[in-house]
Amino acid sequence: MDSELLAKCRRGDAEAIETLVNEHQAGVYRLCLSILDDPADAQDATQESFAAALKALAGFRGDAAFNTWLFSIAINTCRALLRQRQRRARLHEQLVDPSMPDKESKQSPERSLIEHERSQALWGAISRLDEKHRLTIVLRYYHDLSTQQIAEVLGINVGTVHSRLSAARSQLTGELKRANLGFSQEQEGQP
Amino acid sequence: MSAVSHHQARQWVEQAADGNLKPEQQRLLQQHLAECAACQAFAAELAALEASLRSTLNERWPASGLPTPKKKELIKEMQTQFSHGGGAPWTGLRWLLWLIPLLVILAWIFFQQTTPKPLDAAAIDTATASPSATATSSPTATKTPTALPSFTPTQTVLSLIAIPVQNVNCRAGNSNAFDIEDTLLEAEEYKPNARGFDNLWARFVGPVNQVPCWAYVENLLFTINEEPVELVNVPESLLPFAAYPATPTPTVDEGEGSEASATIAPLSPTPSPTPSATRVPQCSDGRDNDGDGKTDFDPTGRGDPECRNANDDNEAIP
Repeated sequence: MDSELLAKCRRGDAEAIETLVNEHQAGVYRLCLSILDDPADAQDATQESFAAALKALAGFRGDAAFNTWLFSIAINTCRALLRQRQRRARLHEQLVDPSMPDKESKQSPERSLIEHERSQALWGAISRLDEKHRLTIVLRYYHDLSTQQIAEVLGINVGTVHSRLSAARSQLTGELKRANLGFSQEQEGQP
Repeated sequence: MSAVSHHQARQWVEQAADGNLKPEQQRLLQQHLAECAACQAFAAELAALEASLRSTLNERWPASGLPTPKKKELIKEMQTQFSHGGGAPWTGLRWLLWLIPLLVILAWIFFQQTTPKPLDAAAIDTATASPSATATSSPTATKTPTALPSFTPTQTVLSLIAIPVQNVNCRAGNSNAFDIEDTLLEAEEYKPNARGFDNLWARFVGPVNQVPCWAYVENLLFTINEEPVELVNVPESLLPFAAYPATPTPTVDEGEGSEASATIAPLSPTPSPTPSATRVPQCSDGRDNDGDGKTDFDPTGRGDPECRNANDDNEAIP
């Protein structure tokens, strides 16, 4: 991130703010959407995240990447939004809804039934993860952040990220197996 | 069989998936996987899970299918927030940048109005208007130091300068009975260092001979910081009073003894405490001092021919 651009944003320069928003808006929106799973809420959260980021811009030292710093703000914003609106329970209900009506029609006709079922089951399993594990999975596999970046965004150490990813993957794999939708037949009897 | 346990190998498979496996661990893991079908299956399962997670999440929130956020509204909102005090901590205090200079200006105006001025404005005005008038008038008792305005030192440095309107003799004392020590040249600037009690003579350091000498003020224009001022209005702190030198003993010329003794009379052997005791120069006193039938200096030439100017104190000797 151009430090000059950030300095201009701190001064309230309209053009600089527009540039900043253009560069990062899509990523922040996707992050908010992946946490809130609601386009309208994600839009609100995106706006709140940018407002919070611009207010806190004076405190940004450049120690972390701007994108990471912005993500951490967006995550906090989304979490606050979830708490404020008591969305967690409602979100949970939405996520476990097996119908997923708006996604159904977008499935590729070439996909095998098993893959389709597995994808639905996986999404259900993701939604049942608790927030900290779900968020770690989303940051890793949807936003393609490294474990180091996830650690910075969430304010935890890298080891914790690893353990959360491992625990989440284990839980997801277990659920798929229980639904007979596992990726392979575990070979029994191995040491 | 490798020395790496299945548990260790599966941990390394996960660390490899997270991109944090060291090269040596990677080498040992590859070695183990080459010999262990179960751990190979675990690694393949993890890879399949990862691929499925990516595809599932991207199907859920496809980048291309995301609704476009209200970018313009977002930007406008950002700018509005900033203009209402958002942003950096100091941006909400921008009004202080205007307030501080305003307060400074108000304080300066207040200070100017409440601080006594070093010189009375009326005196300055009088001085501005009077030099030409006083140049032809006789010194009078009105030029007394009794009405000095109050003077309060300020941060402004005041500079008193005397500018001769013509060449002026600078003598050893306050009459032409004293020798001429130096000459103050017309239009040059000189800094007086004292004045007589009657404000008729000012003392300088002679520009050529570098000795103290006195000049009659009639042909001197005094200024304070380039503002004309009458000597009587100059504060004592700017130009102190000094006693005139004792009048020199008259040298009696045998050929002109009686006349010389009559004309070179001591003016003021000792400074009188009152201006009323000040002697008016003979060429301005309205009397025929030398008995030649001519009186005083007259610029039209009808006065006493021995008078060089109104300041001349000897009607007998040119």
